[in-house]
Amino acid sequence: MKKSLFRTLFIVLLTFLVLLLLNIKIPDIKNIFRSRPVVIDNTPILIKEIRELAQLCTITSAGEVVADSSVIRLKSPVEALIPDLSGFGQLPVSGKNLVIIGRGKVIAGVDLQKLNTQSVYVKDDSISLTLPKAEILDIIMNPSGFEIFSETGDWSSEAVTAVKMKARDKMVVRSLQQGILSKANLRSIMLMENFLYSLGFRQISVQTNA
Amino acid sequence: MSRTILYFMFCFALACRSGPDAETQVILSLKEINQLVTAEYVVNKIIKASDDNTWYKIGDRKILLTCEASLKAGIDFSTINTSQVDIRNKKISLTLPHATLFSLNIKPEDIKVAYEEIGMLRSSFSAQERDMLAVQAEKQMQQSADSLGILKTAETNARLFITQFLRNAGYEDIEVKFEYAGGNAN
Repeated sequence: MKKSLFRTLFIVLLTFLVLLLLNIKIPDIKNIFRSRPVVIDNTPILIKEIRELAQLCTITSAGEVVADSSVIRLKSPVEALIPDLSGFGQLPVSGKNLVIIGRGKVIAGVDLQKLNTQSVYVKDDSISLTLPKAEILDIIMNPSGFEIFSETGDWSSEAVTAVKMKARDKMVVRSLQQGILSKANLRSIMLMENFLYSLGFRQISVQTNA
Repeated sequence: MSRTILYFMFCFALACRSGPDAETQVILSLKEINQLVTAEYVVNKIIKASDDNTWYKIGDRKILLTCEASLKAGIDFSTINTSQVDIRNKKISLTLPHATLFSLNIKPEDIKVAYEEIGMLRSSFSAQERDMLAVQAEKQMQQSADSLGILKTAETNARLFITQFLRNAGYEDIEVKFEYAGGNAN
């Protein structure tokens, strides 16, 4: 009895020692079959460029779009003999598809760096200001805004990027359809009027080049 | 025998149990903003990851991605009103709010796979897995944005731009200050 207990303890200790020596991580019993998340290293951020801007952002349009891409081709005679796991089953064609949901925002406003001395006319407490026309200043679709809804087959990084860019273009089109630029023009005028009023001007005329 | 099977099924179910999923609802709309963006930093980061932590996956996978991001900062233009402006003839004193970080933008085309090493028994990183790594990089960049000095640059640029604008508007003696967090100016 004592001998068998000693033997069991020895085997357990030996197993732990082997696991330690081979650097094998002992799995958590509760999540034994769950993949451990891949964590990135905390690498430094390097500044590449510093730009001086003067953008008055007045309207943002948040949106959600879907973009997809698929490649369909005829199966070769060899492929027809082996089971197809791509979702096409027994069909004579095979392929791959990728569906991406993209969430982001489009920011519009006026670029005040385009103002020049001719844009401003002042006389006593009167001011006339001509703003450049509103434009899309930023399109933000970050990695956290993308969701891979469906991915079958092997997709290269470049192909995935192309689908994401398609989603981004769709969002810009949608924002333009919503009239983001005309709204940005109106709001820029209103904001500049308020600003000029607080600067002491009482006769204010703000217009855009649009 | 059936009790043993039940016991194993219970253990298996417990092991495969996933944590509560956070459901997020996003309200999407057209929104008015009042941001005067005065500084943009273009930054680079290397995303480095190694997938060798799961005990039952034999072999290693490593990936290196390069990532370029743009950070924009400036001041909230809507908070400027008559109470923050002091005018005496051609002399003007203006108090601006402190600069804040407005956006972090990582374009999809600015994330590139630089190197990938896949073990014989492993599959390559899928689009979803690459995205998850990029999301982590995005969070790291967001957290360390302040330490890059972008807010100070944004305030300096805002001061320069507004001084120039006020000069064009006819003011000769211009003072641009920034609010303390408590409300006083520095």
